[in-house]
Amino acid sequence: MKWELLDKARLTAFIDSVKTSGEAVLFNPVSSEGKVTTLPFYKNIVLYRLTSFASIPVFTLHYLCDGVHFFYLDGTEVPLLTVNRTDTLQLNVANVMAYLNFYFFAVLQNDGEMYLVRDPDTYPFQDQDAFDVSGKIDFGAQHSYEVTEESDGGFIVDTPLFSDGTLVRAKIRVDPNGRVTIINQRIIVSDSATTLHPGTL
Amino acid sequence: MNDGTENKSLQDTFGAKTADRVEQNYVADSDLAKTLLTDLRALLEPSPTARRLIDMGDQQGVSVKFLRGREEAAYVPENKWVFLSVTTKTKANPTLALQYAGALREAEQNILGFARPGKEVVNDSEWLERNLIKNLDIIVNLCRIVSEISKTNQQDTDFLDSLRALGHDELYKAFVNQASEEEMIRLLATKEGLNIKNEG
Repeated sequence: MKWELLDKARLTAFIDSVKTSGEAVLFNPVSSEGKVTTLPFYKNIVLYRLTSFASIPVFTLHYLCDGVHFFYLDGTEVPLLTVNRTDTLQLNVANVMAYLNFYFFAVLQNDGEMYLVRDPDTYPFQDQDAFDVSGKIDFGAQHSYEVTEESDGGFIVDTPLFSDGTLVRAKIRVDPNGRVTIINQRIIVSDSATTLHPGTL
Repeated sequence: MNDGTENKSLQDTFGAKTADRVEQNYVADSDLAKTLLTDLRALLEPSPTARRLIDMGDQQGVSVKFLRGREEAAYVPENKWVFLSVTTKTKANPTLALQYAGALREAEQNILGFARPGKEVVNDSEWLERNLIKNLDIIVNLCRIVSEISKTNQQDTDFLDSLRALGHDELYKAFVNQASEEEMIRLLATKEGLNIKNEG
C-alpha cells in the first residue's frame, strides 16, 4: 500500500473541499500534510488522509473520495455504505480481507477495537492504516484464515482477530454491499503465545 | 494493487474538485458534547494545575468544539480554539481529560504569543526546536496534573496509566525525579527520534 503525498496545490484544493465554515480553522495547509492512496476493493474510489502536525499526538482525518465528493470517515458505517451504494465496491476472494481490515479501521465496533491479526507479537502496534492484507496471515494452522464465497456474492471469512485486545477466532459475513456481520467469535486459548491482553504487553 | 491509474498520479486522477462539494458535518451531538465537557472538567477537578487551565480557558474565551471522529484526539489550530474528536462511544475518561488539559495549555501558549511556527516562516531546525519546547511544556503540565491527582488518591492509577498510554512514561519518571529541563528536552527529542546538538 503506497500513500502519495499531495503537492501544495492539491493539498489546498483538498482542504478547500472538506473544510466547513464552522470549523474552517480546523484546517491549516501550513501545518498539514495530505496523502492519497488506492484501495484494492474499490473502483474509482480513493482514500485521502489529512494530518496536522501542529498537535501532540498528530491529528488525522480520513476521507473516501470519488473524485468529486469526499466522505468523511466518522467512525460510523454510514460513509462506507454510502460509497458502497455507488457500485464501486468490487469484492473478491483475494481482496475481502483487505476490505475487512479497512472496515474495522473505519467503523468502530460495539465490542471495542478490532484488528485483523498480522503479527500476534506486535499488537497493538500494527500499522492501522495499511489495509492491503493480501499477503498471508500465517502463524500456523490455528491462525490461518479462510474465505468462502457465497452464491449471492457475499463472503464468509473465518479468521483470527484482535477484539478489544483479546485474540479471538471469528466467523464474519461480508455481504455484497460491504455490510459486515460477526456471526460468532471465540477466544483462542490453547496457544499461550497468542492469549494477548493489552495490560500484559 | 489494482489502482487502474497506470502512469497518471492519484492526484491527477482523483484531484479534489471543488465545484460539486458536499458540506461535511464534523460536529458531535450537542448533548453529548455538553455532558462530556462537564464530565472531563469533573475528572480534572482534583488538580490545581488543571483547574487553572480551565479557568484560563473560560476567562480568555477559549472555544471547545467536539467533532465526530474515529478516535479520541485533541487539536488546537489557532489561539482560542480547542477541538476534541470523539467517537459515538466516547465517555469522559482520563486519557481524553489529559488531552483536553494539554489542548488548553497549548491554547494558553498561543495566547501568550508562543504559537507553533509555520514551516514556511522558520528553518527546519528552528521549527523542530520550537515545537519541541512547546510539546515539552504541554507534557510537563500533564505530568503535573497526573502527579496532583495521584496524590489525592494513590490507589487510583487511571491518570498515570493514561499518561503512559499517551507515551509519556519516561518523561513522567523524569518529572517526578525533578530532572532538569535540558534532560527533559533530551528525553523528548530522543522519543521523537530527533538529534539535539550538544551546545554545552
